[in-house]
Amino acid sequence: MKQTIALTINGTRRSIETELGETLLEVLRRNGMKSVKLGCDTGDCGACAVLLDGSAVNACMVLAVAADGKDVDTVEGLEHDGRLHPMQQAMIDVGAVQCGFCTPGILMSGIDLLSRNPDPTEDEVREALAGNLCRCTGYVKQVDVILATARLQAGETDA
Amino acid sequence: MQLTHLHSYARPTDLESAVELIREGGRGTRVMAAGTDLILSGSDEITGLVDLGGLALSYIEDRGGAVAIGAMTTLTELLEHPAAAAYLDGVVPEMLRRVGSPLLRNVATVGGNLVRRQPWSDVIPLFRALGASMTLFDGEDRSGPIDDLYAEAAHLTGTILTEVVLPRQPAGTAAAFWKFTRSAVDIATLNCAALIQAQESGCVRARVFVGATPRLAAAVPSAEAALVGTDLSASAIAAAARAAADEVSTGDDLRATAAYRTRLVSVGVTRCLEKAQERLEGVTS
Repeated sequence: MKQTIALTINGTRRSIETELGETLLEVLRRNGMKSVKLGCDTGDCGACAVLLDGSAVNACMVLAVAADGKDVDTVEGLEHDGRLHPMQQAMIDVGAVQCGFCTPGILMSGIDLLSRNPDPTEDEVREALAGNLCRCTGYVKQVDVILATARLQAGETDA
Repeated sequence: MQLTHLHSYARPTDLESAVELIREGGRGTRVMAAGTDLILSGSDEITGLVDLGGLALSYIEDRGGAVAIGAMTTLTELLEHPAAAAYLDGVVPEMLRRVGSPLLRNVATVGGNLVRRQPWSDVIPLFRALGASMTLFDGEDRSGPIDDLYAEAAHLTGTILTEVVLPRQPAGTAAAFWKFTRSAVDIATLNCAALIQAQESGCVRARVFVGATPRLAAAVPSAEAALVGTDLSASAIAAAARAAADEVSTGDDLRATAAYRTRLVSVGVTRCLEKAQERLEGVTS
């Protein structure tokens, strides 16, 4: 059974057809948001994390129909005027990307954390990434990225 | 696609319509909160969903020391709320920080967790230990202890959990939560929640719950009885832990054997009561 839903994806309102039993993950990928990775499909790995009305969630754990009318933000929407989001730039500068499969989800968790807590401790960053599995790195550089972004954004606010 | 047999979905905006839709829907219709657990079930039996996301059931209110929680409140909203932090030394956020990951807590709801009656739930043992009450709606509001959700004969079809209230606790009360997991985000291999109330004469009330045994969390009356009337000293706590290890029936699953869980019961009840006792001293000293 199909149903048409309205999703505001990265600021653009779109009318999208979904099967009732489909997850937000399936619908986003079919509509071009390939940063949203299909990892475990059981809410464990965080590779499909997106912002849903501003909060980072596993897109595989949300039915697309239940997201009708909501805002969805993905990595595709982070770049503005040809400039990467500071956390994306920090991923490059710090060298925190290896295979890259977990990176979009980690960005979403990191952005969610800094929106709630602009000055997190390292422990708080590690807790925020508890649901994002990375099998390449030891998480050290991803944690550095989020802390560096927090410092950068604090500097911008002070200036 | 996880729910392949789904052919109806509704998001009503008032409780009366929601109850009507559930009743009209019949056998394959489920009430959905966030839906995380329903999606994971992948059940072919689910043919219809009534999504409670359109109801105004997401709120947290401090009611004179009691904390009222709308059933659709997410675990994160409760975890971050000042009323939860202020309640019994923050035992509720202490528990919630151990539930899954932030990505899951940002969607999963308090009501969904309680109603799904999962044996690994961390919310159920703590909320039962705290003596939480609830409001169910089946055309009219019905209030009662949340313990009623876990009675053998609990019959929830056609009813919606709308609110949970953590009661105001008398002075001299403390609580704690303990959980053992294989990894930071895994479900409990075993969990424990305890509440103790002391007066000058000693312990006057004790509630001890053990969950993920691997069955649904249940009270441990022998441990509770071992505490009441004592001074809650280390030896009283040790006696309660021994009673719990004797009483709680444990089983095997992929996470642990029954024998391992029985050791965990002893360790968990001890550590949980020790922490509650420390908090009690913090309160009374």
